[in-house]
Amino acid sequence: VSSTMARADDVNVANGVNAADTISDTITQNEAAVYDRQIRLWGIEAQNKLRHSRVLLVGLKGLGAEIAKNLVLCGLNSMQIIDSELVTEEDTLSNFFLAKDSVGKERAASSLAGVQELNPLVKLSCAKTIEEVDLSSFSLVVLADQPYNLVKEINEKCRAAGVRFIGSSVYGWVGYSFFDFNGHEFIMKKELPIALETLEDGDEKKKTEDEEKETTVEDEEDKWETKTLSFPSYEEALNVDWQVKKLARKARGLLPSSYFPVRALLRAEESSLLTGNEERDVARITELWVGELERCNQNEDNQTILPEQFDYLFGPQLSATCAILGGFIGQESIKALTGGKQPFRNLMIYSALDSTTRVCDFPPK
Amino acid sequence: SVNMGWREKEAAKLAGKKVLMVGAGGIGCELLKNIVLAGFRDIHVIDLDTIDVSNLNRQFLFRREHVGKSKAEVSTAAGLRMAPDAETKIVYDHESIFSEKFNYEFFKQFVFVLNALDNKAARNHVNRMCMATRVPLIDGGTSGYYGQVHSMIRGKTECYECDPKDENKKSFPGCTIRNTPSEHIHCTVWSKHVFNQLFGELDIDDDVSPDMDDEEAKEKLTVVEAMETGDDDEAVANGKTTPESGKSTPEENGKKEEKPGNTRAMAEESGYDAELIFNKLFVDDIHYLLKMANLWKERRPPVPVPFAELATENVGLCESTAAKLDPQQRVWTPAENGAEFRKAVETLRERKAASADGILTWDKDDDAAMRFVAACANIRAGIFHIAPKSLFEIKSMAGNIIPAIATTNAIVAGIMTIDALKIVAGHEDKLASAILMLNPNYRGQVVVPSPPEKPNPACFTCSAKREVSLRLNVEKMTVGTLRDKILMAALGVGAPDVMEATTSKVIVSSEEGETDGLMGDTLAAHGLSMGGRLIVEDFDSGAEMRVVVLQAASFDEHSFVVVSDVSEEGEEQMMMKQEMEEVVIGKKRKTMDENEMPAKKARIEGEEE
Repeated sequence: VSSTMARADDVNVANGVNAADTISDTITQNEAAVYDRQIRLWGIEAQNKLRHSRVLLVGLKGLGAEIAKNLVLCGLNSMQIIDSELVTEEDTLSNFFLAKDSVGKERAASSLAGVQELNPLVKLSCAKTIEEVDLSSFSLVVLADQPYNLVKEINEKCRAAGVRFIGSSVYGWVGYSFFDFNGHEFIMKKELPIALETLEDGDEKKKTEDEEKETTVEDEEDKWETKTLSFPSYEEALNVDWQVKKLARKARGLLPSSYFPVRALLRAEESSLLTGNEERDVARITELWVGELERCNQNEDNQTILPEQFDYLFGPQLSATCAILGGFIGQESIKALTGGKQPFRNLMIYSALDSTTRVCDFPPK
Repeated sequence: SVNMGWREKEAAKLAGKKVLMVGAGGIGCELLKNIVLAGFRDIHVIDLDTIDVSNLNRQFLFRREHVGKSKAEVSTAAGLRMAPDAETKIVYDHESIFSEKFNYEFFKQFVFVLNALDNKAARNHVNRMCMATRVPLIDGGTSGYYGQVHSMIRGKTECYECDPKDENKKSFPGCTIRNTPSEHIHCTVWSKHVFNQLFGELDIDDDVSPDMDDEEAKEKLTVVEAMETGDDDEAVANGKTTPESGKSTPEENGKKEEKPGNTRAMAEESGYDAELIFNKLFVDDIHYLLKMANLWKERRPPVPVPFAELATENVGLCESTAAKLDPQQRVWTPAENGAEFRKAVETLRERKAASADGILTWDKDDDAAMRFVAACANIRAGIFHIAPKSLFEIKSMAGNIIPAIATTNAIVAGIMTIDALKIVAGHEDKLASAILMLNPNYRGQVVVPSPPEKPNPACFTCSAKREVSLRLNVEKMTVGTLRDKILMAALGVGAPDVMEATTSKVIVSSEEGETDGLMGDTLAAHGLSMGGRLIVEDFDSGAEMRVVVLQAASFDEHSFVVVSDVSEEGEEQMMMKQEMEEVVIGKKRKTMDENEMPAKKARIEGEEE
C-alpha cells in the first residue's frame, strides 16, 4: 500500500501553507491511547494519514453536525467549517452542538466550541464564505445541505484541483450523498486471474512471483491491489439520459424509489422553486416528482415513497437520517483520506420512509 | 412561523411513552442522542461501566475529564443538555442489568427496550425479561465496520435466543496449546495460562507443561522406552526420528522423571527466579516435547532456547513504518523478549508477595501482566518457528479487543432509532432485521434488510410450549441445585413451581417455605430417572415449560447440559451422544478456552473487551 499522500497535500506543503502545522513523526502516547480501538481496525499508517488531513466542511445543520462529529473524533489535523446561516429552532432539533439560546446566531460559530470538545487535538476554524478559502489546500471538501448549483460548481472546482469531494443533503426523513474521489488511490480487489493456459512466458514469471508472495503474505492481502480511480462528476451522475435505449430496460432496477423525490428536490433547488410554505412546496415537489418519473420512464405504481409522505421531506431534519447518512459519509471520508478499500461509487440515498439504503453507480456502465 | 410539519404528527405518537436503554457505550451514546432529538421525553439509562480513555474515539458524550466516571451518569447529563426542551426527563442507574431491582414490574413500564450492549450474557438476560413481559426489544451490535439490528417482539418474531447461535469463543484443543502450537494465538493463549499458573490461584493441574498423554504421541512412546533399554534397531525399524537430543534431558541424566515438573511448584521453590522459570518453560519442557517423537514426524521440531542464548536481532524482520510511528508496534528481538520476561516476573512476584491473598488476576491493561504474556508468547513462538508479533498485536489477541469506530456505531444507532419510531407508530409489521455490510451488494444495498424470522416454537425463552431436555445426574443433583442453578439461573424462570409429571408431586414451590425441606434431596429420591419429566411453571410470568431428564451417570452434583431440541429422533441422538461423551470424559481431554469453563457447565457466554 502506498504511503505517499495525495496531490492536494503535497501542493499544500510546497506552497508553505500551514507551515506552522508541523506534525510530529510519531504518534504520541496520548493519541495512541485515545485512538487505540480504531488503530486496531485501520492500522497506524492510516491513522497517520488522518492526522495529516485537512477537511473543509460547508454546512452545519443536522447532517453537518454528524459529519463534523465523525471526522473530528477520528483525529484529523484540522477542519474548517463554513456556515453563516442563522440558527433556527428547527436546527436545534438535529444539530446537537447548539445550545437553546443560539437561535438567531451564526450556525458554525455557535457550534464550534461543542465540536472542539470532541477532540482537543484537531485544529478547528470558521470561515465566512467559500470564496475566501483555497479549495486546493484541503485533503477533502464536504458540502452538507448546500443547493444543487453550489454543489455542482464546487465539485467542478475540486475536480480541476484534484481535491476529494463529497456533496450531500438531508431533507426531513430522506437524504443523499455524492462521492467524487477522481484521480485518487484506493485499494481494490484484484481482477480474477486468467486461466493458466493463456499465460505467456512473461506472465509465467509474474505468476511465480505471486506464488512466492503467497507463501510469505497472508492470503487476504494477495487479493488486493492499489489503483487510481476515476469518478464521474456531480453533473454527470445526476443528469443521466435514462431514455437511451440501452438503459431503458435496466433503469427500473437501477433507480430506487428514493431517487425520485431526492432528484425532484434538487431540481427545485436548481430553479429556486420552493416557497417556504410547506403545503405549496409539497405540491411543487409532487409535480417535479411526476416529471422525474416520466424522464426516467418509470411508473408511479412501482414506487415505495409516495406523495402522501412528501410532507416528511420538509421541516426539521430527522436525527436518525442525519446519523445514518452522516455515518456513511464519515466512513467514506476516512476511506478516501487513507486510501482505503473499495470506496462507495458514487451516489448513496437513504430513506427512513421506506428504510432503504442504496448505493447507485451513476452514470451506469 | 416555524414549520414543524411531520414533527407534530410524530410527537403525538411519542407522548407519554417511556423508553429504556441498556448500555451507554459506543452504540448507547449515539442512540441517546438520536432518541432525545427525535422527541422521546421519558428515558431510563442503565450501564454499570465507567469511562476509559480508549472510549473517547467514539463515545462522544464523554470527555477526558470524565475518565473513571459512570457512563450512565455522564451520558444522561449530556442527553439532558441536548434535549429539545425542559420537558425531557432522563434518569439513570449505574448498575448491572442483572440486578433484582430490574424485575418484571420494572420492564413493563417501557414501550420498548433498546439493547446497546457488548456481551451475550446481558443480551440474553434482557431478552428474557422482554419476552416474559412482552415488551418489544430493539437489539443492535457492532464490530469494526460490521453491524446488525434485530427488533424482537414476543409472539411475532424470533427472540434473541430462538436460534441457538453457537458463537463460542474460539477454543483450541489442549494439546495444540501445550504441545504443538502452529500459530501465534496458540502461544498467546498458552502464555495467559502461564501467568495464571505462576501468579494466579493455585491449581494443582499444571496445564502449561507438555501433555505427555497426547494421543498423537502415544504409540511412539513405547518405542522411546524401547530405545532407552537399548533396542536401537527396533527404533530405527519403526521409523522413529531422533530428536535434537544433543542436549541432555532430565531423563538421560538418569533421574527417570516421566513427566515435566509442576511449573508453580518449581517457581515457588526457586523464589520466582526469572531465569530458572525461563529455562524450565523454554528448555526443559521443550525437551519433554521432543521426546514425543511422533509429534515431530511431520512438523518442524521445536528448538529450545536457553536464556543466555537469546538472539539480539530479529532475523528477516526490518523495522516497519508502523513501528516508526508508535513503539508499541515494534516487534521485540528475542533478547528483548527475555529482558521483558525477566522484568515482568520481577514486578509480578513482588506484587504477588505484597497482595493479601497472593493471587493476581490477568488484565490486558495491566502493563506488567500484558508484557509478561507478550514476551512469553514471542519466546514460545520462536521456539516453534512462528513469527513474533508486536505488543500491540498481542494485546488485541490476548485481550480479545474488538476494534471499534464512531461511524459504524452511528449508523447502527440510527437504524435502531428508525425501528423505535416504527414501533411507537404501530408499524411493527414493517420491522426488518438489518445487516450492515462492508460494501453494497449487487442490488446496491449496503444495509441489507431481511424480514424477521418467525419465533422458534421450541425456544425455551419465548415459546408458549417450551420443552427442554436436561442432561444431569439424578443420583447426585439436588432439588435445590435444579431450582437455583438450572431453572432460575440458566433458564430464567423467575419463581419456579415444579411438579413431577406422572405423580403430580410438587417438588419445588414458589411459595416461600413450602418445599424448603426438599432442597437437599436428590432428584432420584423424587422418582426421577432417565426420561423422567417435570412440569415447570413460572409464577411471575405464567409461562409453562416441560422438562425431560436425561440421566448422565458420569456427571457430578453440579454438572448439567441444557438441550433445547426435543423431537423423538432428537432424543435418540442425544442418548448416543451422551454415551460417546462418557467415553471421552474418561480420557481427561480438557479443552482450553479463554474462560477455562468446564465443558459441561451452563452456557453463559461473553465477548467483552
